[in-house]
Amino acid sequence: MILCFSRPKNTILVVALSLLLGLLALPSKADDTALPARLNAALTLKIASYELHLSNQKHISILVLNDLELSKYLKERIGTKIGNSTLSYVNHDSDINNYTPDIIFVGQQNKLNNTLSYAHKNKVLTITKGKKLALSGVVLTLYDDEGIPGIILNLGASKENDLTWNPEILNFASTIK
Amino acid sequence: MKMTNKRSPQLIPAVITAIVIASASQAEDNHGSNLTQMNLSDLMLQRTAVHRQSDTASSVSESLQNAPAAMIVIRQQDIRRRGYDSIDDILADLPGFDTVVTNGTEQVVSYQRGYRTPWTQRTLLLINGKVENNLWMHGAVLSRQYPMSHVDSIEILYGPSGAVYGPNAFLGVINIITKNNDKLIDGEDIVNIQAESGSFDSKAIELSLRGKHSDFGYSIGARLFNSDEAAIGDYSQWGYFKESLLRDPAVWGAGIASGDINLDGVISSNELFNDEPTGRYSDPSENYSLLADFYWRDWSMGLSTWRTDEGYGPYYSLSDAQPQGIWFHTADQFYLKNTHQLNDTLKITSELVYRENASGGDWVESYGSSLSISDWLSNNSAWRFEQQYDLQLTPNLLLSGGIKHEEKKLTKGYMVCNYFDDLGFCPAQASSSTGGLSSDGSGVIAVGAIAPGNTTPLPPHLSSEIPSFNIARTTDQGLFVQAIYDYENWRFNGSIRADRNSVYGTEINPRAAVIYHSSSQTTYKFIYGEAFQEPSNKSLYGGWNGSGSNPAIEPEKVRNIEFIAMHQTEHFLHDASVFFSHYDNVITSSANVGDRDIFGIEYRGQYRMNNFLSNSGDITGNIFYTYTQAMADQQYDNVQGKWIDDRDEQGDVAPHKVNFLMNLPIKQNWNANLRVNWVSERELFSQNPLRADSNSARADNRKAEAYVTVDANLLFSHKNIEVGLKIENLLEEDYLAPGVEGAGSGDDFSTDNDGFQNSLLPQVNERVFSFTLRVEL
Repeated sequence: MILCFSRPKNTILVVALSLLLGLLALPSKADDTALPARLNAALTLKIASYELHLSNQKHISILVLNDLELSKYLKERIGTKIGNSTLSYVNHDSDINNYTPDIIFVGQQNKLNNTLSYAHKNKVLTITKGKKLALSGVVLTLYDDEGIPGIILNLGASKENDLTWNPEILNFASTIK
Repeated sequence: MKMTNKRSPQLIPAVITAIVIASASQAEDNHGSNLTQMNLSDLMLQRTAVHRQSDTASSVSESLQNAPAAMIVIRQQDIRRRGYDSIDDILADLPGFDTVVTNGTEQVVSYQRGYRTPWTQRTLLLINGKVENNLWMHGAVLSRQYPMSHVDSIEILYGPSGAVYGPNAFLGVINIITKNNDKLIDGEDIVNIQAESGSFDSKAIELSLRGKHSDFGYSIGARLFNSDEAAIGDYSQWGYFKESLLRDPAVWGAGIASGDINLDGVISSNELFNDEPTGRYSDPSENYSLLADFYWRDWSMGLSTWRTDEGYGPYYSLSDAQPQGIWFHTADQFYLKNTHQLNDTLKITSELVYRENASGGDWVESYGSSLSISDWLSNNSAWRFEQQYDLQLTPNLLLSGGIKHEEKKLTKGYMVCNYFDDLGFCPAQASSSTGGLSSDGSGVIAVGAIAPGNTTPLPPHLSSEIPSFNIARTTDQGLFVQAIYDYENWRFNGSIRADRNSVYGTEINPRAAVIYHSSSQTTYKFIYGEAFQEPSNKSLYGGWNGSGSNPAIEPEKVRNIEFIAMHQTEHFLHDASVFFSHYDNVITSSANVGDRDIFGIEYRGQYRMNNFLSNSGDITGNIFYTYTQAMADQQYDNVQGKWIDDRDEQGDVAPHKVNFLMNLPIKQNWNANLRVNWVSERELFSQNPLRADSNSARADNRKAEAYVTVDANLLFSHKNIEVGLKIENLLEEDYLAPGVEGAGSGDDFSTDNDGFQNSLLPQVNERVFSFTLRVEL
């Protein structure tokens, strides 16, 4: 491996390789598996109708954390029916602050633990995009599964948040515990 | 976005009123494909590729499904998996492109949609929407300069787009979109480092930095690349590509043939070209780039600067040109941009761009019995202001419009010293030249006269300043309007643009597209579009040996009609185009040479299938097929030395091409990728003396043979580190590609007919390895 344009001395090579190997422990920030935002918005609303509490209440509010593009498309859908409910509010922010959402869409990993404990405490459905956060305790993961949408349902997180699903969701989602 | 229900006042034209009334009654989905009306089963079958947003086709964000053009998008994931380490890698895998790897002054020359040009001059190359094509000769420089790890995606658009872009969006667009900070959260910084090493002592290092801190953000990419490139022995056999030719004193004289140009017994440093003496083969390349963007609230500013230094490789006959010299291209671009969302419905985007580019280099020539060592330069600049207005009049109707003002300061003819009397412009020799402006011929020495004391002189210093008499100043002004309207499952996209050039006058280019989503799986598009291509200053003024110039050339015009069908299933995305293009005033050899007609079929398929390996992701890939029939009304008669009326095949474009790409994930950490490209046999361009029907002195018609290449890339990923091994030309395919430009060398290797560019281009016929290490911090 050559890291510079003059021929490296062995010491430089050893130091460079050691440095690179030392970086192995760092997690990757890259995620290429997010769905296009418009498709993500449509799926978010459709799949929410499979959660029985959500689909039977009057109004639904969604808080989108750190995904402006998705919130834009969701706002365009205000008034859409979700089961027997209606999408009434969509907000975008970087934190939960004083919102009382029924669904939190976690766009980027920012104060994730706070978000998940709020969701657990208030029985809120959490959704994220891309597989990066699938194992982090978010209930639903929507992702690009090699060219078509994929859904991962975290059964453990779902149970902790007291969510009840129409069993038909299992026709579309893979599950993790 | 709020739905409005206002009835238009009488003052508004009736047609607009009808549209507004109709749109107010539409369902909530304002994008035609009714995603929200689909059930979950249908949504789960949607191909993500067709829903990705792009503003390359219409200059406003829309899904590919709704774009008024055929498009392919290559994402960063594809770049990594396929092992693309430079932009030129990508072209061979694309449908609708006939690509020749020259390994010369232009690393590749690619003809989009079957339209043959001397270089890649009719495809608009953009970086983040800003034009990169050379100002002087309109060429897209597709070499190893761009940092691919800093690229978010590359959008390739097929068909003329003059209605949106104005001049020179003639055959299509390649828009390189770099990573920005849109998806970063406050306080986040990402660093990517990539190092490559491979065959021919090729090395590259790349850096990609991005960050977001409150209202401020940055995105910086950089790349350094150098390579010795392949040796002659690594190429397929071609009689004008032998090292012995470079050392032949009968061709090059004793000085150049030996490297001791002044025959003083010592090869001194000023006799070296890129550290190498003449008389032996070397083909070094060095490229670099820096792309930087800074964001603050609604503002962004940035720069891009790059340079390519390329040796000549097999581009020219070694009887006519020594290959060691460096031919360079440089480009510098600075911009300031503001995007202002005035209210919920109106957005105004303003952009000011200044850019410079230059090209030139060393040229050691043997023409007839004349030897010369010359220095060439073209230096150009332009500034441009554009403003675009996007008005979401109703949820279903988007109106856009824009203005452009651009001023260019262009070199007319090459600055060239030490060349033939009355060719080019050379201030240092002008006083003794015939016309008082050019080289004076003192640098041109007959090969038979070379002797100690009478050797080929080195050229005088050539300043980067272009004298005023050799500058052309032009002004372009443009105005466009566009309406995009959704009605149930239909989308209508209409635009028209007027461009006024201070030299060529006014051109009007419309585009109309009707897009129909017949079901959740199927979409049809009907598109009509036009574009025009300004003659380049190279064609107008830049003549030299083997290349003419003609200030009277008219702009080229294309009219294209196209039908596209897209159908998506769980395992396939079928996307096919049938098009017919008519071209007026075709420019080649610095002349308008009549019309051309090109009929084509392009199939752009994506597939996805279960992996036979357990615990591994699905196998995915692409199958592309291209059929092209390109006819030209005029052919070059090689014996008469002029263009004549003769409707026949244009040449240099393969009738059939197949690209097969496959990606195989292997467990969690490994990924294998295979790329197979088959190109059918093709007739050569009529300027090529190997084509018998354009050269009555030739009995046998020689074609460019069919070939198949196989490339593979193996990737290992673990957390934030990725290691790749790429093998190109896995099966060591041995073939010759069609020559570029005039391609005039011929194949009678017993003689030198001074055709300069090789009629057939040798290709590397060995496996080429490269190793990549990528780290994200």
